[in-house]
Amino acid sequence: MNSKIMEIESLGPVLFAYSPRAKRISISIKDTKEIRVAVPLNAPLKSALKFVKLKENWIKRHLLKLNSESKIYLSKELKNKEESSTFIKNRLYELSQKYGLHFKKVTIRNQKTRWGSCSQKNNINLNINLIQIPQNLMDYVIVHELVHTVVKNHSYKFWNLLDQYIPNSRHVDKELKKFVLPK
Amino acid sequence: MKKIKALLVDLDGTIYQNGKLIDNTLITIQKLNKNNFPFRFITNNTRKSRQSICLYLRKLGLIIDESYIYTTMYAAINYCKKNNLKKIKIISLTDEYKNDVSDIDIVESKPDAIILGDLSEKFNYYKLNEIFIELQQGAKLIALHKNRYWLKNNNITLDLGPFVSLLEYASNQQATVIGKPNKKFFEIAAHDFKMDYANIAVIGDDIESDVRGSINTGMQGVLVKTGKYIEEQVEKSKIKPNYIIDSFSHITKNLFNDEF
Repeated sequence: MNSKIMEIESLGPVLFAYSPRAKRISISIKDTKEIRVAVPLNAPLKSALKFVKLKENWIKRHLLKLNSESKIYLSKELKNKEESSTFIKNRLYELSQKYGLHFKKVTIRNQKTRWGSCSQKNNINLNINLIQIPQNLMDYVIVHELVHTVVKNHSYKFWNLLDQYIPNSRHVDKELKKFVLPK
Repeated sequence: MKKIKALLVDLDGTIYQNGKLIDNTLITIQKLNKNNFPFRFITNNTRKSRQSICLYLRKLGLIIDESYIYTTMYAAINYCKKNNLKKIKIISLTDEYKNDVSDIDIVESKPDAIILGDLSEKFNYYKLNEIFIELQQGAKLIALHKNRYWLKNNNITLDLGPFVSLLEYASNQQATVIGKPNKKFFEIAAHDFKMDYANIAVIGDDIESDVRGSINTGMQGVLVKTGKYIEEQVEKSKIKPNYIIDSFSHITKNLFNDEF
């Protein structure tokens, strides 16, 4: 994949990344405030630049929002890992029973990028750092993975089902994004 | 003395002190859990939600469920629910309480009840007058506590109590005070136990709020020699704890007959 960083007046450096998966030009802003533009292979750089200029205000608005949104950085040091792990597992068993959503195996890990995952075989992985976030968010992550035992993707069907157990789940998902996993 | 079958445990000065768990706390909690011995934590902290306190304890290594923690704000909200007070106005320095509020209608005006938390330097004529008018219109006054003063950076400073008294005097109504040493707080925290109060022990480092409060409620009062414990004060006090122990962990000697 080809990529190019260009300095744009009033925005600073912008990364233009040619991507075989991109179907249209799209802009994303990372937590680190990096501006990334995904460009389809057949699109000229000129039109990508034009698109960025056109969306300049939107980008600025989002950068501002990032500034005002306070992130909570979780601690690298975890005390009492064994009990933390047991606590999370017990919560998974409880919620699995409560909602009748069944999984095969559970593993608790210290992951750096994901709160949890669910495999094709319905094995669930959960992040030990869940012990550091509020209980309702821990429950959200657990039920999110449990719903994946029924719906494997993030389609409307998935969110609708999740909403039955965690009302307003998309809002809760946003809450979760405030917490940054230790690197 | 009746056999102790459940515990209400104070936090600051009993479980932790200066940002650390007091010695042998973890092993004691593990023992309680292993024996399925019922316990809950109680705190007069008016500024932190049970959510923040739970995360703080977990940071210290004490892994417990949020529902095990009873704060005065949580108890006050619980009291309102039980007494069919539906529209609540909350006076508080921070919006931490929002983490603890569910199925309750928070309003700005025409409340059924006002939960009065600490506003410190933000108490002023207009704020107090606004509350007074709501009380005149029939709102009930619920205070998180009624302490006269506290020590801020070693300087004596007004606490919530004088403001509660002011509003009581002006509105000619008695506030319902929730925090320790008031019975209501212990009763709400002990609700899950569903047992005779005489079988419940309260453990804390404060002879007034923890020990007097528990004994007045009909529970047993256990004083620990950690936190704010001062021997002379205890000797002078008219309140006699049922037990005085060196620290929280020593309670297992009474409960399970073992020693560290």
